[in-house]
Amino acid sequence: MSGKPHDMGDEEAEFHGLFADLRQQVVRLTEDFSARVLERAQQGEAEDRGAPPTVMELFSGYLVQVANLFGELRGDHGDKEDEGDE
Amino acid sequence: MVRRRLATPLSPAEFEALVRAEQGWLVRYLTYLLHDRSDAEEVAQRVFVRAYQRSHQYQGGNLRAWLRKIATHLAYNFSRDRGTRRRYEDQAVPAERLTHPSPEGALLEREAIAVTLGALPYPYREVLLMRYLEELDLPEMAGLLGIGESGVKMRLLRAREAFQAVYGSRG
Repeated sequence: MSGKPHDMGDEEAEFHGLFADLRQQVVRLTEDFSARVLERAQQGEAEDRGAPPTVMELFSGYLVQVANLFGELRGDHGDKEDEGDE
Repeated sequence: MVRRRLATPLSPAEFEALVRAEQGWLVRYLTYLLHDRSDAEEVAQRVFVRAYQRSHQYQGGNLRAWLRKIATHLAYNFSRDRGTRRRYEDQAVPAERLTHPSPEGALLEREAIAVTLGALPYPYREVLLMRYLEELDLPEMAGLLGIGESGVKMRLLRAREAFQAVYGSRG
């Protein structure tokens, strides 16, 4: 606890005093609280790793497929154009 | 408290040490803010999980202030969602209900403060706890709340008035 804020006036000091009992309160948590938090954090990590692809990932994959297809078509078309040019 | 700059993600052992060091004040703050111990523990867990996932983003400095920033956002979101879920249960407790004597004849001071806080709108409860429980100065509160210092002062003033109106009406 940092202590009473330096910018606290007299009116506020009364409130600060009123909350003194709350500040002294020690919260007891079960022994396994931190272990459960860690488990949850690691579980979240694992889920992130195994998460399905996002919309952007799907969309970018789709764009690559379209680009490849377009490239193939363009190649055929280009060949024809080349033929025409000739 | 873990004070070093977290250039790399925390190891599990470091993370567990951080949780052990910081869990007390965080759960206490969230208990009074959310007016529910089990909700407070749930949000505290989310705060630590978020911190673990984003430990690489921590830029050094006051770790507790960083956790407090995460807690401010997550608690507000949780309270808002809970309010949607339990629209009728989560309404402020009417002042007259606070004056009922406990079986012992009088509420303990701490209980009276807790019940009074629970009767206040969330933004008032939040500033009172930041200021008088967590002992934050005005600039830090302004940063957490995303408002100017004059706005913080005004909200604090109104919050104190609201608190006194309820607290003073105790039997």
